[in-house]
Amino acid sequence: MNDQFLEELKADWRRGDIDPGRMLENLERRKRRLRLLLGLEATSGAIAFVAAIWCGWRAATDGDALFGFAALALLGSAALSLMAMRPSSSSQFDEGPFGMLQRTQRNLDDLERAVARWRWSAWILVGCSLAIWLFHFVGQTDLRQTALLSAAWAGTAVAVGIWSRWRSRQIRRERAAAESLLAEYRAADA
Amino acid sequence: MMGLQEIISAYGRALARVASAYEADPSLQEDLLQDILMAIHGALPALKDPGRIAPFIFRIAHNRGVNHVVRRVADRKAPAGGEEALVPTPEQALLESERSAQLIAAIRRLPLPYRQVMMLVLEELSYPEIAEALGITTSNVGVRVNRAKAQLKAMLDHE
Repeated sequence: MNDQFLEELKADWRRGDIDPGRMLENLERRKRRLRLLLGLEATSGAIAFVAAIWCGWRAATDGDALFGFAALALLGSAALSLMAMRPSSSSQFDEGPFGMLQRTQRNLDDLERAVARWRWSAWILVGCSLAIWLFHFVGQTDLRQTALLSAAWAGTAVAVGIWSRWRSRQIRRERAAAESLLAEYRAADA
Repeated sequence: MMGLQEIISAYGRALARVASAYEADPSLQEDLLQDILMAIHGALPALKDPGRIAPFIFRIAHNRGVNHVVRRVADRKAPAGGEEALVPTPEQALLESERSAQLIAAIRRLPLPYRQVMMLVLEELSYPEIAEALGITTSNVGVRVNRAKAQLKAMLDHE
């Protein structure tokens, strides 16, 4: 096979034109969208944190268990917002695709463990929704609030359970895809 | 250090071609291209030797491309490489003239390791630069280039 073939390929490969101005414009739009999302995440986290402090203060001063539960839930939500804002630690520039795929597999394993922890944390919500009924039976909370909170927590627990099952399946598919690509790389140099 | 605008001026077209070789769907291709550019933008401060910017940029581009393929396969959507573009964007319509469209389609059908070396050869990177971009040895580059050329020739002759 001569290099003329390659030269023809190069000419075909570079044929056509792309507008770098439009590319930059699209990218700036995406950056603005990401900044907006980050801003919304930060604002919702801050609001949840302030609300948690207020609920915690009400729980401490009034002795109202409902405010205590609400404070805990809001603190959890603020923590989730902070986690979502955490910058990605991916190092896509210090290894080639093979190493990156191996790292992807390790990350997916970690992610699957994290999702499993989420599944277990759903049981905590189930526990909370049962515990609040105990508070109701000893006269600490009224029926309407108890039923409302209990249903909200139980519903959240079910949603987390369904989501974590779906995410686990997706992670396993991604892992299998990464494995099949790694096999392609191994075969390429064999 | 190069800014994003200079990167786009110097490498934008090449990066758009990389994205087109990983993804046939025009809207996802655009997403992938922006994803690559964002990743490069974020990684630029880590570039130690500005003289080695081409392997640095293409390494990030191909790593993002591979990530994209993993997600697409896992989503059980159509394979990222196999199908023809349905509704081309204006820039894609320009890019994909008949012969180049055939070439891009053939490159999309190559196994990933061969696809990557071939794209970098077509972007005029030297073997040591390709080796640096993909994290392999220069002799591996040679082997993959020869096999990729043979497979491409077979595909293009068959069409």
